[in-house]
Amino acid sequence: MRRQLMKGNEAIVKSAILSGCRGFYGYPITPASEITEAAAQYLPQVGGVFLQAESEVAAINMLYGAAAAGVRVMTASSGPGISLMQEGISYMAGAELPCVIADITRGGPGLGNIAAEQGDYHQVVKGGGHGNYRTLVLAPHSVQEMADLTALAFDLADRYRNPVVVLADGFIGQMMEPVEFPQTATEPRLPKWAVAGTEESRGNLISSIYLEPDKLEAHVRQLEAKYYIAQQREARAEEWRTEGAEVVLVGYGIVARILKAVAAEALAEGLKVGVLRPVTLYPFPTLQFQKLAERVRVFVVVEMSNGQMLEDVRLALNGARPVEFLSRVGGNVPSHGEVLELVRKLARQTLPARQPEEECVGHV
Amino acid sequence: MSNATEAEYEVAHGRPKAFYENFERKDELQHQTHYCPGCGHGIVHKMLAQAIDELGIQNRTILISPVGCSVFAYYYFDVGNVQGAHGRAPAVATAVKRSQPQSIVIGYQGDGDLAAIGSAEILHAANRGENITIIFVNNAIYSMTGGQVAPTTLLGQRSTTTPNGRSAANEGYPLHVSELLATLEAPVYIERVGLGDNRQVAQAQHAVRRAVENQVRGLGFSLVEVLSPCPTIWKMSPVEAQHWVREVMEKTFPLGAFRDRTKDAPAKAAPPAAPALEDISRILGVADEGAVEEIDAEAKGAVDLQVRVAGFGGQGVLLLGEVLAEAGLHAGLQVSWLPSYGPEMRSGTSNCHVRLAREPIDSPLVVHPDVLVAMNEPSLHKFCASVPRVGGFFTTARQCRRNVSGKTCISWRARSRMWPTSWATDGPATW
Amino acid sequence: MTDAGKRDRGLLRVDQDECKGCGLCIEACPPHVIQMMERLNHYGYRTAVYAGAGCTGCGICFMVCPEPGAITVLRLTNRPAGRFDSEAEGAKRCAGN
Repeated sequence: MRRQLMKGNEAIVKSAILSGCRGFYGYPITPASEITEAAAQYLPQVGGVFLQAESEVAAINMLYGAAAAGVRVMTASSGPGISLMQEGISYMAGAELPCVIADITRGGPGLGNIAAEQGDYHQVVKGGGHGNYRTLVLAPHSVQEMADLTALAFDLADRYRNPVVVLADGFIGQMMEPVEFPQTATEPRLPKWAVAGTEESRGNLISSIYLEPDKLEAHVRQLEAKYYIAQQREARAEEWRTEGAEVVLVGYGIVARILKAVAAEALAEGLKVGVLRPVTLYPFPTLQFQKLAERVRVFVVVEMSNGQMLEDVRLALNGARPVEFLSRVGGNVPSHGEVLELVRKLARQTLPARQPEEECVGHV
Repeated sequence: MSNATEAEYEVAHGRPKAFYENFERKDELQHQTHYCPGCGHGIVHKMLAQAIDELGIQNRTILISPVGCSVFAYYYFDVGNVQGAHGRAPAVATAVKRSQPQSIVIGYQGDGDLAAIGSAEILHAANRGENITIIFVNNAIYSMTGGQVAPTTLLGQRSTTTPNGRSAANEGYPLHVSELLATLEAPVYIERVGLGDNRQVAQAQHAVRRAVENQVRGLGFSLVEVLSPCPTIWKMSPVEAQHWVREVMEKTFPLGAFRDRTKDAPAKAAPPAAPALEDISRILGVADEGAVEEIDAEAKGAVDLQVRVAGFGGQGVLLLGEVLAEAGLHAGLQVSWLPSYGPEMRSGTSNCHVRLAREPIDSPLVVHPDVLVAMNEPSLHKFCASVPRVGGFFTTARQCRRNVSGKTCISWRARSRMWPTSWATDGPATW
Repeated sequence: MTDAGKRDRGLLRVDQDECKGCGLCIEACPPHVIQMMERLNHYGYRTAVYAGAGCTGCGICFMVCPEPGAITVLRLTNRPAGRFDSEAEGAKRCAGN
């Protein structure tokens, strides 16, 4: 298959269109604007709709409308824009509407800066808007994954009738790598629940309103059931050279790439190091963590945040193993050197291979 | 008493077909609406339902209901229904209409929804000339939430958040939506009507029908503002409220058509047909055919080249890196290219990272470049320490003032700033 | 009001369950042939009711009534259209005549 050099931000759009996306409504924001620009170029050429909305608030509500009308639709933004979209995302989850939202993260809080940071984890993984809902979250760490996970995102969005976030940092969006695309495009199909202006769909209603507490409770339980099924079926993680590992590095996005390089160098020095890279941040790959915890000594979470995914790692491990944490924020990237230094230090510590069950071993 | 039997009469005006017979989505009392006695919503709903019936568009119609008393419009209208977030109906309607252009999309909004929280959405939907119909029910107060001030509340009018009456100094003046939108180029029909007496009601019915018909004819954006009574919040009887619309509200909000270009407006063109599915990969430029054949990398042996290119923005730093990466791709290698896009772009050290390798590349970040291409002196100074002992520099700098022992440096003098045309070596110069 | 022996052009029916007694129809009716009931219906509303004679079938009461089906206005068949008919209704009638 043909390999092309392409930016992550462009790969998202081309993959989306090949997956049947025929609507893009977005607002420019660094470092995601190129996605909107690529969409402006390509969507009209394939008979889709592109519109630059007047704000991210308008954009997410346009996604609501397009999804309600049965179209595969997406947008792209960064932290401050995603914050603006939270009400709309909550509405879409409550009304059970599919969509794909690309979040190319930058420094925060507030205006922050335009350098890469991983500070949006809580916002997208924990359901940043009001109410009991979640968004599925996929975290590409290469340009090929920007393409592949976008295609997966559209499938998951339709399968679970829920918004799906593709979470990448500015590095993954801006870098160029070879990427392969499927040659056959997916044909857009009209879901039977959509409100499409036809006789068959006339009786359909898109709404997130359930006035009676009993009805809303039943509805929320039904959403929960969907998320439960997603947890059983859709959690994904990559294990990179974890056979025989005593120290496992945990990261996503550009951090995961750095961790692979560090692990490669540490392995060359004879240290037993591997990498566990969550690919889905929600549902979190809890099972993979628990399985690995049976044989590794310590997990090292490296994040460009002050400890957002860290919490989910701790939750998944439930005290089974110690968790170390290396944090850089503000747009600073954990350097190869500082991670390697921590790994060397941990690899040489004499910790018992297995912790007695009665002791509480979580530290950091 | 008339001496005709009922059998000799036929229905002239009855429940429009566009209404459900029984309001099953309503939790209780499914035979009547939830609206208060004398509420303007019920009257406007009926006009809309009649228009839908008369135009024969029930199957094509999609109603966008707002947040406000009419949030439950979807209980009543037997059409496609989409309930939207507060203020966002014009945005929702925009996307519904563009996604299903054959549908008739009607947004229905109150004064808070449209003129306060939704002011951006209505402005821009109108400005884009979306081919939709907006029914704006203006009762000068926030009724659903208990009677707070609205953008259209009259000066001196009391509300729960203007207990001493709206004052221009604190709350500003009542917003004139129809007049405001009529300053835009795109809308084809904007009319303010009232429910103040029989004649006005007839005119309102006429306007609502026109606003929907314009969309059926594909003419563009139509909005009808309806001055509407709210007996409950105004604390009046329904008839008193109707009088208040006529005698008080209409002094501030004059009735009339502020825009009517329906005679001259051309019908919007239908969107062009979508290309065939098989053509899409070619349109996106990702089709297999036309790909440059890659030379087999296996034959070349082990490669793991890490390059940093740096200079000031405009020298072609990023382009040079891209060309290198493309060359590596065509050589059948794994490659990565990463620009730095931070503030250093504005100074003298814009740079990119390029890696070419046989094996899949772990980190695209080049920490210790095998080759540093420094196209100005600041870049050389900034990055030369990162080049390991055995490595090389390409530089346009005339001298490198740092002492970095053991490193080979190749320098050339460029004829133009952008591209070196000759380079000279003095042999490996040790620093 | 009708002369003895002449039929009313129109006939009005008020659904006693759906009507909420807002009184707008009473206010609007040009020949004033709608009245408010003295007693309450079983939802607690006083409801409108046709006086029994004099309806012209103009349909104004129907237009000002906020309830979808509370009022039904009937007309004698093969009579000319009332003032407040919709254009479509009028056109249909003319074609029928």
